Amino acid sequence: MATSQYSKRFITKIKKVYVVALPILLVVTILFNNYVIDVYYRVFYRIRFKNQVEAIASTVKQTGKFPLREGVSYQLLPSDAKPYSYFTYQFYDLEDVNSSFNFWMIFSLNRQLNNKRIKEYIRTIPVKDRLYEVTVTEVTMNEPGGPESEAVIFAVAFSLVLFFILNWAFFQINLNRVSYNLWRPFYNNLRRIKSYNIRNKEPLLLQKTSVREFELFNQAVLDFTNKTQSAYNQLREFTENTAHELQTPLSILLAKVELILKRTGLESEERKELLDIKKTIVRLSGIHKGLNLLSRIRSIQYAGKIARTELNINDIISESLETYEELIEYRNIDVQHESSIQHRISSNEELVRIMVDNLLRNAIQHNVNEGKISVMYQKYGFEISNTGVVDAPTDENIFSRYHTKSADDGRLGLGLAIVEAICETLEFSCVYQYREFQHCIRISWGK
Amino acid sequence: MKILLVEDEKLLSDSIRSALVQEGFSCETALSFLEAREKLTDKIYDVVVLDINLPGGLGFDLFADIQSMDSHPGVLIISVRNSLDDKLKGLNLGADDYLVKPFHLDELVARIRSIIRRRHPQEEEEMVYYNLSYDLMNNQVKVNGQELKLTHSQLRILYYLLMNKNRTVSKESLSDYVLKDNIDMVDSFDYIYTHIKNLRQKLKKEGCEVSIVTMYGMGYTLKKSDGNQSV
Repeated sequence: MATSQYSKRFITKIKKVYVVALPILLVVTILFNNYVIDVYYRVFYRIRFKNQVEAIASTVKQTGKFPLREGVSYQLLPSDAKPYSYFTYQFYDLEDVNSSFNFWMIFSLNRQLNNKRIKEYIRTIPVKDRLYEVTVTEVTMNEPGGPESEAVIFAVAFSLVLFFILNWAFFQINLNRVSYNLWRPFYNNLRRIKSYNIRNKEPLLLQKTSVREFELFNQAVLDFTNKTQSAYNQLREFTENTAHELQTPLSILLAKVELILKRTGLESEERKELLDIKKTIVRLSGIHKGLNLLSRIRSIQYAGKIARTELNINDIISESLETYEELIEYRNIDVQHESSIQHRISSNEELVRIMVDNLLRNAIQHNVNEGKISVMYQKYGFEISNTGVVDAPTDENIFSRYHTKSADDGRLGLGLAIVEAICETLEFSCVYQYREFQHCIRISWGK
Repeated sequence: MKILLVEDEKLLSDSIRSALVQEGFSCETALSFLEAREKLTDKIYDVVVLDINLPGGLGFDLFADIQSMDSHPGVLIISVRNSLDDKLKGLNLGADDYLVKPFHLDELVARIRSIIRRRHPQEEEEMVYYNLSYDLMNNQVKVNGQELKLTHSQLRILYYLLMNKNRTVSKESLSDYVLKDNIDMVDSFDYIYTHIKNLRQKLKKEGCEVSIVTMYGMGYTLKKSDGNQSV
C-alpha cells in the first residue's frame, strides 16, 4: 500500500507536467518540419543538381561543345560578368484545369491540378575568355503544390526521432526533479537529526513533508528526542541541585566537628576519631566540588554560549606550574617546559585554566618522587607526559574513570573527567598514550 | 569588634557564632533577608558575614544597605556557589573576600581578621609577637629586624600560626590553609611536618624568642620558647 500510494502521487505529479509539456513539444516538432524540408532541399537537391552541372561543365571544357539535353540551357554573358553559382526552388499553385466543380472530385486522389515545382541550378562556365551561364531546370507538373514526398518522408522521420529524444530527455529531467523534491525534506531532516545534540538547549525541529511515511517517521523521531531530552534535563538539574544543596549540610557538619575539636578535655582517642570524621567530610566536600564543576561545565555547554578571549597557552602553563612550584620541589620532580612554539588561541580563559591546572595536578599527583614531567608544544596543541606509579598501560578509558587505584586512598579521579568535559565543550581533542614508560596526554585544537 | 552573621541555616549559624564568640568577637545573627536588613539599619557593625541564598532575597541585594552605613563594614561572602562568575560578582559589588562552603572555622576567623586589618591598616601594618614580626604589606618576616627568607608555604604556615597565636592549630586546618586545593596531591601531614621542621630551624638560627610547639595529637601552637624546646 505504501508503495502504490507513493507511486500514485509520483505519477500524478508527472502527469500534470505532461498536460502542458506534450502539446508544446508537438508544436515545436511540427514547426520544425518546415525547416527540415527547407534544409533537405538546400542540401540534398543542391548536391544532386550541382553534380549534374559539374558533369556538363567538365564536358564543355574538354570538348568545347555545349551538349544539348532536356532541361539544360546555355546563355552567353556580357564580357564584364563575374562567375557565380546558385540553387533555387519554387512551388507554384495554379488554378484547377477543370474549373467546373464536380462533387465526386473530392474523393479522387489524383486530381488534375495545374501545379508545378521548379528547381534550378545556375552556374557560369568560362569558355575562351567569355563566360557562359548554364541552367539546369527541373519542372514537375500536375503534382500537389508542395515539397516532394521524398523530402516530406525525410522530414517526418527526422521530427519523429527528434520528438522521441526530446520526450525522453524531458522525462528524465522531470524524474530527477520530482524525486529530488520528494526526498528533499527527508534529507533536510536527516541533516538536522545528525547535527542535533542532546546537550544543546534547542529542541529538535523537523521540516514538514507531504509524504505520510516521512511524517510518521518524523513524529517518532521527535517523540523520541523530546523524551530523551527531558530525561537528560531532569538528570542535569538534579545533579546541579544536589551538588549545591549538599554543601550546606556538609558545612554544618564541618563546623560542628571543629567546634567539638576546639573543646579542651577531649580524650586523644575521641580526638582521633573526630579528626577522621572531619577528614571524611572534607573529602566528601571535595568530591562535591568536583562534581559541581563538572556539571557547571556541562551546563556551559548546554547553554551553548562560551565567552572567548585571546589566550597565550604558554603563559597559562607557566603560571600554573608556578603555583605547584613548592610541591614539585618537595617531591623532587624534574620539570621540562620548552616554550619553542608560542601558542595563542581564542578560547574561554576560565575553562582553559581549569583544564591546564587539572592536567598538571594529575601529572604531579600520579607521579613518583624524583619523577619527571615534560610539557611539549606541537603545531596545534601540547602534550604533557609524566612518569607514573602505574607501569602498565590500562585499556580502559582513563578520562571517564572516576576512581583511581584503590591504593590512592582519599584521592579523587575526577580531574581527567573534568579535562575531558572541558575539551568537549571547547572542541579540543584529548588523547592518552602510554609511551616509553611515560603517561602522555595530548590536547589539540584546530585541524 | 562587632560582626553581623547573615546565614539562614540555623545550625550552621549557631556553630559559626559560637566559634566567633570564642575568638572574642561580639556576634549577632540574622536568619533571613529582612532580619538582616533591619539589623543593618539599626546597628553598626565592623564586618558582615553574608550568605548569598537567603529566604526573602539574594545576599547581593544587601550591598546597597551595607554601603549606605557610616562605618562601611567589611563584607565576607560565604556561599556554596563556586563559580568564578559568582565570585567576581560578589567582589565587584564590594565584598572584601569570598569563602566557599564548606570551610574550616579557623579559616573563616583568619579571613575576618584580615578584613579587619585591611579596614584599619594604620593600627596593625605588621603583626609583632615578641621579637618576631610579620610585615603584612610586603609579606616579609623579620626576627630582631633581620629579614628571614621563607618559602611561600612557610610564610603561610607562620601567618596562620600568628593569626592564632597562643592557640592550638590542628594539623588538618593548617594543611588545609597552606595547601588549599592541593591537599590531595601530597602526603599533607608529611608536607606540613617538613616545612615546620625547616621553619623551626630558621627561626632558631636567627635567635627568635618564639617557637612552634607540637601539641601531641592536637596540632601546633606558636609560643614563647622556654629555652630548652627541642626541635
